[in-house]
Amino acid sequence: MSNTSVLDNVDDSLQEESWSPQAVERDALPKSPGLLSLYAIAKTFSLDAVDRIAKDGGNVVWGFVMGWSPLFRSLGYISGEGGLIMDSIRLSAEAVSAAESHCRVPVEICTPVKARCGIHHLRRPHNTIKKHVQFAGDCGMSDMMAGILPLEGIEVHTVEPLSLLNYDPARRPQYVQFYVNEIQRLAHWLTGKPVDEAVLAQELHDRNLVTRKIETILKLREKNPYYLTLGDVFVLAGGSNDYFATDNYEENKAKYNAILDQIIAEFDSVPENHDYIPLLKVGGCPFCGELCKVVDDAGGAIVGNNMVEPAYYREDVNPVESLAHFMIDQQLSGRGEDKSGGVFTNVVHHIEHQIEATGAKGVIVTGVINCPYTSIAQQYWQDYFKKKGVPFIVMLADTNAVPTEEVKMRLKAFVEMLV
Amino acid sequence: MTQPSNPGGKGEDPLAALQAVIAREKQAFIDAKDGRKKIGYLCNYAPQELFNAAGVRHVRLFKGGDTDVVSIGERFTQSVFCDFTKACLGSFSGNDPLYKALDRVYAAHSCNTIKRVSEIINQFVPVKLLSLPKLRALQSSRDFFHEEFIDLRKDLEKLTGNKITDEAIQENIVLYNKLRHILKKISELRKRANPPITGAEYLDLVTGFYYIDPKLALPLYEDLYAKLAAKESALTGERPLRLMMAGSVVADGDRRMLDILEGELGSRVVVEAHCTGVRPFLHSLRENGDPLRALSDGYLDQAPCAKMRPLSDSSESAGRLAQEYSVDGIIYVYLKFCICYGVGTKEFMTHFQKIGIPALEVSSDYSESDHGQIKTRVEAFIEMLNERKDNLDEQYIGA
Repeated sequence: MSNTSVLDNVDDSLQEESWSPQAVERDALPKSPGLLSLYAIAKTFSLDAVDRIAKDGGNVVWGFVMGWSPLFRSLGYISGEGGLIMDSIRLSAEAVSAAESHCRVPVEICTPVKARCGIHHLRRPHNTIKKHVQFAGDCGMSDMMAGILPLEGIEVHTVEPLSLLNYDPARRPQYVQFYVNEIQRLAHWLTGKPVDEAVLAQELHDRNLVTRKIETILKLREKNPYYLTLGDVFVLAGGSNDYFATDNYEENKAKYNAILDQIIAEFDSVPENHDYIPLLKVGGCPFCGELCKVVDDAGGAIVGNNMVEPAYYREDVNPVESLAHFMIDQQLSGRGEDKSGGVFTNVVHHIEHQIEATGAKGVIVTGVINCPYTSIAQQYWQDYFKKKGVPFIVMLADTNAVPTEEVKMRLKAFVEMLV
Repeated sequence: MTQPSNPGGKGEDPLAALQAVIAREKQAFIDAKDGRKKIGYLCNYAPQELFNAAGVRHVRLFKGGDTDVVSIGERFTQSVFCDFTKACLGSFSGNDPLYKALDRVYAAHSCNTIKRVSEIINQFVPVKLLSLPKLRALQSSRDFFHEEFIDLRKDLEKLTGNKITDEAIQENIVLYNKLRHILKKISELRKRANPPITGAEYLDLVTGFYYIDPKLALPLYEDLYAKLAAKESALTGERPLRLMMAGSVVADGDRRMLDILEGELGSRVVVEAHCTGVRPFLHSLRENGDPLRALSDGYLDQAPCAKMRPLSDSSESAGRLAQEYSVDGIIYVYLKFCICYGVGTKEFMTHFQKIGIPALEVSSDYSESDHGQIKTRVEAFIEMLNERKDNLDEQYIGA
């Protein structure tokens, strides 16, 4: 169906020439060898690759639960969702049409969900991945899409969510037990057995090591954010889920770790650059790589965001409980917003903390057109930051969009206003 | 407008009387200054029995249909949200006296829209959002929902300063079972070839369920049932087309589709598979054992909304209702940006097709701009159903 990769829509932006002094300096920087290696292994993680695994009888499942990728790996499963999402971006016109005409998804629903739905329909005749895991706290559109997947011949397992708007610390043991039950139920559905705690503990430990390295890299970015853009950071962080591995898990895990070490080492020789307007980005990002480039071109740099924030699994408790704690903490922080069923109003505290930590002078709020959940969150964040006197701008786009001249002009004007 | 059926025949129209009671109760809720706490709740998964046992005044927050209020709500959501929730936010922000009178709001995390809106409402009035399991057949989910109800009970006790006894919950389970039962019985009168009540009138009765004190409401409904049941049931003239309305919530104040179906096109809505029609009255709660457990189990076991899983539970439940009420066709209406019923369309329409009942999918909102377009589509559907009905009736007579 497609040979697209995770990176095709990210690294294109690095090939274009820029005009601003900051961007000229950025383009003059040596390309990070570690980053090039990262892109090279990332390109191997594609829908075609997971399809091959499934055809050979391997364990592949659609869907995911944010923060639970170590669980899937401990159960011997790969999630095909990463590949699917990126393919849905590439194939959106065909897939969206299929979703609207065959799956009867209303036209007003956002493109990413329609595209994913349409892809499942288009793949149906030859689909070999017959299972989907749906976290019911995920965005309502994704959740409802999963609701109609049985009509496309896909069996769906629902993971129950908690709603923690009124979080009560005294009830935490109940919340933990709730997710422990859900984790074990998922394990039984996928493997017929309970979680192998020793394997899971090792996965969590490995992930913590990786997270520590990513945290170091995020800190090092302050030295020169142009050496590693936010788009690169997303790819880097995306790799921490599966190490871009399909059938070569341990090998890729080692490679991925080596790449992180390499990038950390590279920063020793990266020239310092603090001549930019520091900005934060909040919300989902339909055109992240391109957006970063436009911001750079205007003399700004995105130094933080609400989607990639280092968070650790507890290693002082039973690993299944650790996953449960992780989910609860994600939800409370608002991190990942709907993907984790989070309390979106709590995200402002995280942003405030980042503004303090990075000295950011403004916030770029991004989102997908026609996402109702984004729209309500954006308005709330806008109102909040307006009261606080923090400049912000809202940028909405479709998933497969590249920034239009209008978008570029607005962003440039925003950054210039902050100079 | 929908033509009333005047079920009482001569004398006072009991439905008009009921509407007067609803208006009076709404005003009393706003005006009351007796120290009793006033709470509002979103969605049918919030337990009225517990609210009543706590001694609070309570109303369901489901006003809608007014585009001016919707536009106030858009201040928080932009346009890409369903009109029902925008109207809800607009009512809070626009200082609707009913919403302004509230001390606390309770919501169940049914759809994501309600979850997000709850976080915004929290800026106006403190909100408690209950986790709502989606897999009601799962014991661990049922156990957790029970824990949520234990927590809700404590929350209400803290709010009111009143202890909620098991006996009070038990009494209210019995009371609300009676209410649900009588509303179900009234609905079942619509199984007659000549229903004694229109769809719009039935929704008015349902509206009363959410606004009128239950002890006051019960005799009103019992009296109404007696009058409706006594009404002439024999069919004179042509049998009206029998329709089911399924899909999104039909707000208190939104009668647009019913006005087209019943008022303008002369068909009759005899049953509803949405959360403000007969659907919430199909079940009864256990009247023995642990009353809080009976509540949490009973609320999960009600006819499911589209957010529950598997989705086929909802479509099959709607299909059973359609068959039970012998409908000629189904109007599946969802509000634009109602994610549950919008994205769920294929499941419902596929099931309706499977059981052989024609269905029309209509996406709508509270504006009048698409009235003509909707009417044209519905009219064409009804013409088709009328032809089909005539053929079926002829076959029946000839058999």
